[in-house]
Amino acid sequence: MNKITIDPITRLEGHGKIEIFLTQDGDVANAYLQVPELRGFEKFCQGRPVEEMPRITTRICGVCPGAHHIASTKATDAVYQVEPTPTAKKIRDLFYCAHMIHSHAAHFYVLAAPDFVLGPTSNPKERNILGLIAKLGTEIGLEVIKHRAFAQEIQAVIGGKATHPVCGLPGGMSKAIIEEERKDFEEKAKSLVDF
Amino acid sequence: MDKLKLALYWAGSCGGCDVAVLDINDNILKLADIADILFWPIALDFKYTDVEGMDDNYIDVCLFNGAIITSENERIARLLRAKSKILIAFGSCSCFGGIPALANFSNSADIMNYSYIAAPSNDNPTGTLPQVLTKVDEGILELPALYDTVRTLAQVVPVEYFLPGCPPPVSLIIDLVDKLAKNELPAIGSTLTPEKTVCDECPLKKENKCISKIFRPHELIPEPERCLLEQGIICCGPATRSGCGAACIKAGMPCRGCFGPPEGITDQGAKLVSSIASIYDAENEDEITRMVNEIVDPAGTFYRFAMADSILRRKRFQEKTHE
Ligand code: SF4
Ligand code: SF4
Ligand code: SF4
Repeated sequence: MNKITIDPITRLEGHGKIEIFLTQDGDVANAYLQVPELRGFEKFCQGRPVEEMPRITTRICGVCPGAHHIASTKATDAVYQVEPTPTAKKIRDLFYCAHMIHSHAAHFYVLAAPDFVLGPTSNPKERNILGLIAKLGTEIGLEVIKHRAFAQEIQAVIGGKATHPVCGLPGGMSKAIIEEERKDFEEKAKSLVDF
Repeated sequence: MDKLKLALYWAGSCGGCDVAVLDINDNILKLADIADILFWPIALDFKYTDVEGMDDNYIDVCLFNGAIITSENERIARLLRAKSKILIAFGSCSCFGGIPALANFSNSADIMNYSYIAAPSNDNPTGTLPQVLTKVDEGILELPALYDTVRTLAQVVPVEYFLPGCPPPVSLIIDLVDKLAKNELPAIGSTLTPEKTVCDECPLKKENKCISKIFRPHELIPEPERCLLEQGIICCGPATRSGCGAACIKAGMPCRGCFGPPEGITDQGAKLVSSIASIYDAENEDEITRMVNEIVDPAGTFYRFAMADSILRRKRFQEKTHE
């Protein structure tokens, strides 16, 4: 049977390969998506201290480390049966909102938008973020870059680093935010809402 | 000057090193000015066949992130090595094994079994495991083999430069882009970071005090401005290369060593043990034993990011004996 192999699949986080088998007439007989990777977090996290999980599981994905960080942090709350303080909850929420903005901006502009804006039939060499900026103009490109950077900066101030944050502890957060930082976040958030 | 031909790849990785390249923000436009990017799976649509079709040494510089975990990781490492004049191990997974090398405390069979069968979130009553070759109605499907031991890039192919960090910080990536633009790379074999330790960059004060009790990070609200290690919280700063500006410590958390060992140190964990032992305030052997026992998971802490690069490399398993 003839087959078309797409290897690697691109513009997403993670490894993948697609095999499409064709009939004699060239119709699709069947298609398989394969994931040719496994690191084994399920196994190698065993034996590590629970409070280290928020710092280890972030490495599951560098596009959405904030999600793994907060999920693990909540798991440590549950293990110790502690309720985070209202302030800690707010800082976690703030961090997570910034994370969602970065992750969505990265997904939309870098990973997905080239398919919609340049189209599936466009030249594969140009069907990417650089082609997108070339088509939409540097001005819009710089706005996108600036606003994703805002979301990354908010996470870095709260979490130590945007990729990979370290601030979550059972029952709380390792770092408070100061008034100056809060004001800066507010400015950035307003600009993000407008954007 | 002709534009540089650049490739970026991820082997056993998380994608954070690729996001770090995006995080250089408007400098990415500068990068696009000086370089044509020929391969970058997270962002561009080129395939392995495109790389296979290139002449040897066609690529000027390849930034390779991720550890070598599968036969595919190794195959692409060899492919990109052959096609690239300069190969840079980018990020801690590529330099030292990184977090994926915690798998070297286990082995591929146990990882497969747990991940696909034993873990409570699985629903796999037939115990099906991924196979390298699988026969389906239409033909054969092939997956890479999962290796028992996670390796660094340099353990598989020769590497010209190392840029550690999990991920490498934006400032060091911009510095690298600058050096590429000016063709000013240092001597082959160099690590593209400052040579000091995280302690040298850390704003907290060391008073050369000894410790008599170890605390886990959530067991103590540390005094601000005082070295965490001297308050009894295990911090890997003394045995870790600088470059991050002590990022974690500034967020109130101890260093976990993601930049790997400083210049001239081969085994990060051994260096940490000696640094920590030297500040123990123990009167007798019993106290030393008590304090050592207070460190939860010493191996997984001291070798958090550099297990593959350590002298030990992996946990040794005893040969199975007949029961
Ligand atoms: S070094 Fe860190 S950021 Fe880079 S791929 Fe490895 S886990 Fe991800
Ligand atoms: S041991 Fe840690 S907290 Fe202390 S000075 Fe070094 S990096 Fe800073
Ligand atoms: S403080 Fe340590 S763990 Fe944190 S970024 Fe720096 S080297 Fe890595």
